[in-house]
Amino acid sequence: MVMAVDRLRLTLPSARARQPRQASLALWGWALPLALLAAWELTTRFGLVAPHLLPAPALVWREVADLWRDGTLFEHLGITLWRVLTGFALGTLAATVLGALTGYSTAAHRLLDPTIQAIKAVPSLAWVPLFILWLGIFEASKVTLIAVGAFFPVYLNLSTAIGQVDRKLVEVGRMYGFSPLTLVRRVLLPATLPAYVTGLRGGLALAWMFVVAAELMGASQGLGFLMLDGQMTGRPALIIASLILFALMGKASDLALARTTAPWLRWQDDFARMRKT
Amino acid sequence: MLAIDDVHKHFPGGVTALQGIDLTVGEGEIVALVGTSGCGKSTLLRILAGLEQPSRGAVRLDGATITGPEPRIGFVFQEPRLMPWLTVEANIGFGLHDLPAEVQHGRTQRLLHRVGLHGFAKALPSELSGGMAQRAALARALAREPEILLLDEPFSALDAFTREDLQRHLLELWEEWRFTALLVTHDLEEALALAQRVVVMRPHPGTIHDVLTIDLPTPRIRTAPEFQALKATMAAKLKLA
Ligand SMILES: Nc1ncnc2c1ncn2[C@@H]1O[C@H](COP(=O)(O)OP(=O)(O)OP(=O)(O)O)[C@@H](O)[C@H]1O
Ligand SMILES: [Mg+2]
Repeated sequence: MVMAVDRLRLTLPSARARQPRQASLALWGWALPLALLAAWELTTRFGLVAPHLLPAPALVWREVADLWRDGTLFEHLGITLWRVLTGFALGTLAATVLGALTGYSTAAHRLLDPTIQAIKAVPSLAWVPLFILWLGIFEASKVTLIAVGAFFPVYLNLSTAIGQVDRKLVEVGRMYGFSPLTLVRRVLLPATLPAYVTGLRGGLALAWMFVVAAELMGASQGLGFLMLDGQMTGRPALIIASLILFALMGKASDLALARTTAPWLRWQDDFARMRKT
Repeated sequence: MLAIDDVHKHFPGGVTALQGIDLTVGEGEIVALVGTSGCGKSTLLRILAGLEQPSRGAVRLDGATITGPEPRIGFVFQEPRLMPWLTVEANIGFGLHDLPAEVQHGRTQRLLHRVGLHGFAKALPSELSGGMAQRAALARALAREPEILLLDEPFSALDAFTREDLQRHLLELWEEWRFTALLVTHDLEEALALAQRVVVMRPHPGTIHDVLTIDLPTPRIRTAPEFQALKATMAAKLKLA
């Protein structure tokens, strides 16, 4: 009983005190973007850079506002987001199955990993002609390209991490007569979850990278298309607006991924947690 | 009955970890294995657990050869080896996945109380002290209700006070369940306090040097002259071994 009271006294105040402090600390992340924005504004206002190279923030904002007003902003954002998420989902699915397989089984590793590593060595843009030939210039080739991009970080992280799971924990599973599938589900996957999430975040970042490549190779909609359109029609503000939208969407999707996976990673007893408290 | 019959173990690289080990352990008996470092105690335990195969000979449980891990045999390792992502409660129920949910719940709760961790059911292993973690590991092994419990220096990483506490605890659990236990230890007092027989092993290659029957009355008083005398005899045997 005394112990229970002690625990309460120890945990409650600090947990309560942490909330506002962390919220205010999160604001620090805005300092650099705001400073850059101010520098940008000053640069253009004093005419340090020609406007056809670097338009003023207000002009960029107007481009976005125009797109918003004629209703096409969300069409462009939506189609790009759909491509990224579909490609990411397909790439992740394949990477999870193959990564779990090559991480778990030596035979599968010997058989599959060299080929996968060789495919990884092919520069991403080199796939474009082939995918267009096979799948046409519409969505299928774009999504496939993005899936290829998202595949490798997820595959590599998962496959490597499974091989590195502490033998001692695996032995505990063996003592209880776990079947291979149970072992994967109850020991190997949870143990590799932190590395897997790192892989997912890397895969998502690459999916955003590849969507640009995919949309630059020919699209009539999407952020990449807007960028290309800005270049063709000589509207630097549109190019910069698309860039900023890319940054915001990429950051938002990464944050969403990090937030959704955080509850499953709370057990990690690592330096990041120590820093927080 | 657990029968170890002419067990040899050679490791690749030419190490003979065990040579001609013969030992029979009766039901409900506690046997301690002592011996200098490298004499094959852990190897023998791992063979009994089915985690390792003997190069020659066999181990049998009630006549059936042990070829792999089985639920009738529980293992407590030197380190707690708790799953860091599971709560204490879930760790204790870790090996019960194939049993009905009510049974899992019932056994887990009972053992949580039994090892005094009910206040920490939802805690993560990183929030436990070493002694608490090892108690959780003991509970996890017992949750399966094994007939045989193998313990490889389970308390060696703990301070003397916690160690005695856990030894007493193990005895209480044994009095309730009467499982057969094989306990590897470096601590002669631990062996004398818990075991009915002490097996003294000798290294290079690992063989059994002597088997001592401890007929001290229970509960054993560590400060009693007979206890201390026996400890001195055993220390001398170990030096010879
Ligand atoms: N996997 C292995 N591969 C090769 N040699 C091994 C292996 N495991 C153990 N050995 C060797 O077998 C011998 C016995 O090792 P074991 O771990 O059983 O000793 P032990 O009696 O438990 O020692 P300690 O008291 O230090 O734990 C040692 O010489 C060791 O080097
Ligand atoms: Mg050992």
